[in-house]
Amino acid sequence: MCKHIIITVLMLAICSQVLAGSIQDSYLAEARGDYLHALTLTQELADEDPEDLFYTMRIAWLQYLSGNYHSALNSYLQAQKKLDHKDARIGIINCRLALAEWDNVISYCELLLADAPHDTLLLSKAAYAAYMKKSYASAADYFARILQIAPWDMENRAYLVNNLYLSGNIEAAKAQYKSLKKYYPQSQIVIDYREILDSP
Amino acid sequence: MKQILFTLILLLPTLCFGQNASPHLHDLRMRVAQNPADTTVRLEYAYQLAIANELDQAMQNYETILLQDPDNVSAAEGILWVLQSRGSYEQSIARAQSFLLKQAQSSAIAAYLAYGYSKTDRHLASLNSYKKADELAETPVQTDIAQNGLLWAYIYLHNYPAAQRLLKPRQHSEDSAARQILEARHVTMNLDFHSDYKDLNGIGLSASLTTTHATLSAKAEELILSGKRFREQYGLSLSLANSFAKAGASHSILRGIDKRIYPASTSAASISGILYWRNLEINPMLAAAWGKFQRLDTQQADIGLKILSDKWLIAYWLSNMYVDQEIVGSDSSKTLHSLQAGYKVFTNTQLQAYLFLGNQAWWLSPYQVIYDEYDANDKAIALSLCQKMSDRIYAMVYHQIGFFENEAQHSSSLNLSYSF
Repeated sequence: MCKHIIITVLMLAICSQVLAGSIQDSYLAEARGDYLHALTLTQELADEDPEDLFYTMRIAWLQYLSGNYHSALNSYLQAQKKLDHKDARIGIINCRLALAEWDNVISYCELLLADAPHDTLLLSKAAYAAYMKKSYASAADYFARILQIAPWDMENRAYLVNNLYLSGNIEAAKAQYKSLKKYYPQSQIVIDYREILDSP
Repeated sequence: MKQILFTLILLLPTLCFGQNASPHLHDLRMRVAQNPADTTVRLEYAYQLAIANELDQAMQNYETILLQDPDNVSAAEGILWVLQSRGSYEQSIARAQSFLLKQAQSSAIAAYLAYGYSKTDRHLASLNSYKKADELAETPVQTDIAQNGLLWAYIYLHNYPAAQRLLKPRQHSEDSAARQILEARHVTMNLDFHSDYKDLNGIGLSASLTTTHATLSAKAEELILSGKRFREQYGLSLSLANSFAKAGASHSILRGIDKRIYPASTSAASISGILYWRNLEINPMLAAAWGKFQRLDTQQADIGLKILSDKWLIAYWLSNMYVDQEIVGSDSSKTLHSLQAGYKVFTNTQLQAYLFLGNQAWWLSPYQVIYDEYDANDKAIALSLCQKMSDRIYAMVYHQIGFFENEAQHSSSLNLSYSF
């Protein structure tokens, strides 16, 4: 009888822990892909502590993961008002990329690059926005800037080859292709452009 | 033991809560989060979501790709796939049409459009879109999809010879359902009652056996005048069809109590073409008929055109007949114009209107004998309602108002058919 009582109490304690809305539950819900539940739990926590930046950022992230990019953008902007920091900025850029706001992404990245010209993450976000906008020459410039900072980044060199070619700068594309082929011959770009750029 | 079980039951929710989402899906989700404009990864993510039956999320991601890259054909295909998986066929048609404005060369989108039409009972539109998909196909898979769709469109349109041509060799099992339909022999039984609400009533029974290329029919009809058996008719007809045309011949014998007319015999031959143009089926028709009655013979030629879409049909017949009377000098020649218009008011219900201009006596074809008597309507209007009751049973109610010497004459018929 006593055993039964102990086990029941123990299990009830576990269940109450599971059912209580904690940040840990929100993580568990996120881990199993249940963003709606994760979001609800985080929002409950945020309601109790509305000025908490972490909760605002987490709400933005969960909205972003669940594909509600407009809501996520608003949440990241709210977070930025509380504290203008890199995570909020990248969140804003990612939301704008998802929403295909290419010009906004490029101008915002340019603004941030003025203070951090060597930030390769910002450069790559701007490069991708330019590529999606079909401004291949501009995309190539951004990728070239990344390579000045990180010359052995073969993935970005491959993107550079692609954008140089698409922008019509064939000679530069050939030069970069040659380098890519030398150091990273298994790159998909090397395979794709073999017949086009492999000539002397 | 009981305690362990009890413990396990209580722990079950906790264990479930701790489970992670599919690792592959999770990995793709994170890759999309890292680079939200990478359409290639997002496409794969959307595809995996759709496979996992997460249709809302899959749709959302396909829509995001289209927002980022409006020319992305794979995303457009994904959207149509999700819509059709949900059973939203009308929506898929509207989206496919808008995609085709931009991606006019996409075989896959044309095939999705065709499938949407097929699922909403628009088989002529479906045929037209599958033809486009077939023309635009760039890979063997696209060709296969388009041709399989064409095969089914022809089956739904009852053009079995055209469907037969598309049937693959027997080793392709995916055609087995179509093969079963095409190799089956279909029997249709028809029962017909008609009345002029005065003294004339009739009952007819016919049966037909249809194979892919041929239909053989037999019919028997009895006319009752003022409660007495007035005339009986027995007929046999055979029609042969290929993908482009149908040719038929029929012969009937008539026996009755009016010795001025019976016994008699009638024969007819007809040929009609089957053309598909855009979303239309066009049937030009030619027919000839001969009647041999006791005191007269008739020779008749008919030319007609029928145009059908999935919703409506219009048809026109021009008939000329020479009546060769036994009494010298009383031969005559006459003309009959027949107009027909139909509209599918509901999926299984078709309403048709008819107008006949010209005296209807002695005409044999295309309506077989309408009035085998000396006096008949000069003009007639009619309405019919055809209802598909089930996959096997059809019913048609027909009502005609004829005008003879400024007097309206009402007659109706009810036709029931059963196929198996």
